[in-house]
Amino acid sequence: MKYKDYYKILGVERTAAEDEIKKAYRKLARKYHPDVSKEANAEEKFKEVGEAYEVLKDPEKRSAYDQLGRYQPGQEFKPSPDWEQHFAHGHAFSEFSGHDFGDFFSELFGMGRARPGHRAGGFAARGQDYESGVQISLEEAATGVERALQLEVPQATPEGYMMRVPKTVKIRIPKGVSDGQKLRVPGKGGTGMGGGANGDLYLTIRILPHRLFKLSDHDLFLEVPISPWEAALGANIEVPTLEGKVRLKIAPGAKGGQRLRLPGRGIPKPGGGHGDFYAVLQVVTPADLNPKEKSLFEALREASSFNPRSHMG
Amino acid sequence: MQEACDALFLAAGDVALTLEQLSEASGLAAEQIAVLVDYGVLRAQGDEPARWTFSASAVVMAKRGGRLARHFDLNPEGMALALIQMERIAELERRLRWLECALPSESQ
Repeated sequence: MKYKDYYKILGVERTAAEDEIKKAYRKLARKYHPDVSKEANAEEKFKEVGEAYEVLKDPEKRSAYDQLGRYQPGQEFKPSPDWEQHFAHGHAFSEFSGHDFGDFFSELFGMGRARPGHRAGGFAARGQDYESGVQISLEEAATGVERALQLEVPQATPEGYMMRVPKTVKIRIPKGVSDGQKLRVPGKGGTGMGGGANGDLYLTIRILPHRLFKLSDHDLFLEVPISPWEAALGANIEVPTLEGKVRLKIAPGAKGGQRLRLPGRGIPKPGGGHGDFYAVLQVVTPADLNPKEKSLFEALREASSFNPRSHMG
Repeated sequence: MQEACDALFLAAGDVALTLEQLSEASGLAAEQIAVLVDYGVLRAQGDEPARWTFSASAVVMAKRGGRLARHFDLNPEGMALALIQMERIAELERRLRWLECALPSESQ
């Protein structure tokens, strides 16, 4: 297996006292806890941090870990038979603490013993719920999409230890999901025991940024650059939407930042109907004027009495 | 070839987990769940804890509460407050997102 340096993950010395370890954990939990963090890789990082803390906060586990010896992070190693005999099977390690452990921890300590007979005596237990994230494109959010998800799910070994094993679940995401939305796939969680129902799979949807459109819930936004003369004189222009191009009438005297709304041209909503489409106008001035353009702008300056700063006195 | 399963939107009454099942699913004790119900963070159907049932939205919320409580050593009241504030932040972020979308970018 590949070695993980739990001290390095928490950023503490191998001699760190318990309260130093706790402080380091708190700092990293604030930074990477998936429920409070905005970091891109928060979930993965917190998984490592939680795993490291699970071991180092517990004197017994920490001592077992220390006795593995010192290796480089990622270096292949195998615990001595002595270690396994003394620790891995001699100790009923870890009631599951809610942290999601990686392979290194699971292979060393197990994720905690499965509890055979815990529900014995005619009781039925519902299977565990699983959680996962799925990224889709904006177009896929509008139309719905099928995905094969590669999950890692806990499973009991014959010895009664919980390990993570790969599992593929094929799902159909309905049209009309929004960014951050949770969906439920019934029965795709863990297997129930004693006739209990299977758990569910909960998915968090992430909609990837689009080259042109921005999405807020079910409303679509498109920034539309227009020229100063189109803004002043009005225009009839063509703009893309998710369903193809549409013509947009810009009234004379348009302003930068003005929103033109096309009702019902956003993405579908779960209960029926669609969000709206907004064209957000942006008046763009040419950076390089040719001599004729320059003279026309100069003529406009001479002819116009328009003062955009008149309200400033 | 595996048949694709439908992923469903969360809706009122979509599942009916008992208090005990919600406790197992979220890792929260029944007493902690009761505090979340008292604060209105979780909505329970049924007039007393023995008859309470919870929807999938409650499962999502309780799981989040369970994670926060375990990983930040929160008591039930602190967990309830954190969940209330996180919902409020999520709503404000939704509004902020709309306003950001509605404004032209500053790049030009």
